[in-house]
Amino acid sequence: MGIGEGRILLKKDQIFMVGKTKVIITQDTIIDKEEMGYFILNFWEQCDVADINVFPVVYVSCANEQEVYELFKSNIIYGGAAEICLI
Amino acid sequence: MFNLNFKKNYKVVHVNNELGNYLIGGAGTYMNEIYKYRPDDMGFIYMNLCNPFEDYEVKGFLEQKDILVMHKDECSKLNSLACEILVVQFYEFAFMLTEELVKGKKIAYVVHSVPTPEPPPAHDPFGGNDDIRDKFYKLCEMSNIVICVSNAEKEKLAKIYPQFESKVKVVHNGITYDKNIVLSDNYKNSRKIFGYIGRADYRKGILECIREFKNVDGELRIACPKNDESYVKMIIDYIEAADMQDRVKLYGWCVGKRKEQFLKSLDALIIPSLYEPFGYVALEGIQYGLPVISSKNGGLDEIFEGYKYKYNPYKKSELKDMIEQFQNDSDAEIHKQQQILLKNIERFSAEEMCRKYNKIWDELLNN
Repeated sequence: MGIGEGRILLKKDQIFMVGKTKVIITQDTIIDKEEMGYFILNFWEQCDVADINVFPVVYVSCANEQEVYELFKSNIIYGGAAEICLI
Repeated sequence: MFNLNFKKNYKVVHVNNELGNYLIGGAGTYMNEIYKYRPDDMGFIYMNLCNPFEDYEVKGFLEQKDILVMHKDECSKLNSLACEILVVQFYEFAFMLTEELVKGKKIAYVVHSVPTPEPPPAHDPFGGNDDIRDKFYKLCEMSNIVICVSNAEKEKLAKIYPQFESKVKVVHNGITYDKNIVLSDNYKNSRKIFGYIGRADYRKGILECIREFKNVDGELRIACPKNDESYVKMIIDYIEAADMQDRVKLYGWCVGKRKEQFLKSLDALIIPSLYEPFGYVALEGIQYGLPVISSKNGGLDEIFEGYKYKYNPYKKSELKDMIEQFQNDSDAEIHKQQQILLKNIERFSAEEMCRKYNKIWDELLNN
């Protein structure tokens, strides 16, 4: 994970904690710390990570509260960028 | 289109939209098993029915031999296809059976699923999906032989179209499995971790299963892709509304090692399908030596012949009762049931399936 200039860079297959959940990110991701966004379970793509206690995620940024609401209604949410913890 | 050492002439050519790593469900597992034990004179066409711009990796196609990869819009190129038997695996391929293509060939249709809603409406088994009905009918009518993957599927087809019954044969699907299956004994320490693996589809009965778990002392783990957004949304909504987040957990689309570890983490596998034409997932559970608690609808009842832990998914509380039965049974009883599964899986080996198919192809040509 790289951090600088208000942005977070996550490399594909990087494993880290979001809140209490250990996750693996399935694509290179740049997060603007100012934006609203959440890590959600990625079950659009096949995952072969052997450790089933690691959950595949993608990051989705939301433009407004309505988008946050829609995201929460249809997905498994693990937390936002503020809850990232390196391991 | 690209050609992976696809020869100029074959005895049998299979057409499917699932092959190698490009799988959707049981029909793909079946196709890969047929490929694994193929004779030299058998070819495979993988036809993409959806996105013409989908990217494919050559290494995703098994041994990269005897395979033609194409999009449905290129179908006219098949008019020069040389084979004696064309085996169609999906009703959506009905469009490709032009006069020119079928000329001089025998046609076989493998029915992986009679495409009805579940349960099929009595007055219109196809539930108003006239386009699907017409394609399915056309394929059944044009085929010299129709092969169903279970007796249940044959009965279903014959009930709708009795005129085709005489050309229907049953060949159960098969799987390659280790003959020395190690039986799981997780249940000796815990009988609380249950799991579902498969597609997210209302016919799989996932929502009904979660509802039953409201009254079950246990945790349900679900491994599925998000192939049906609205159904997954219903599942997530229900889990939240019922405040079951701690007892129902989703693990995503598990394949390879993850699938293996997912299954090994369970005390028992649950197959809550409202109906299964065959039920490959049952064989996968048995492969891992797991006790299975299964619906008995469709082909599942044939796989679980003589087995105790099966139930009617349309009857409220039957799953809950069956889980409690499993939880209360002695270790010896569960072991006895596992032995029944070990015996049953012998009838569903991939080698046996391929032997039966090859016999059918020979008979088809000789008659």
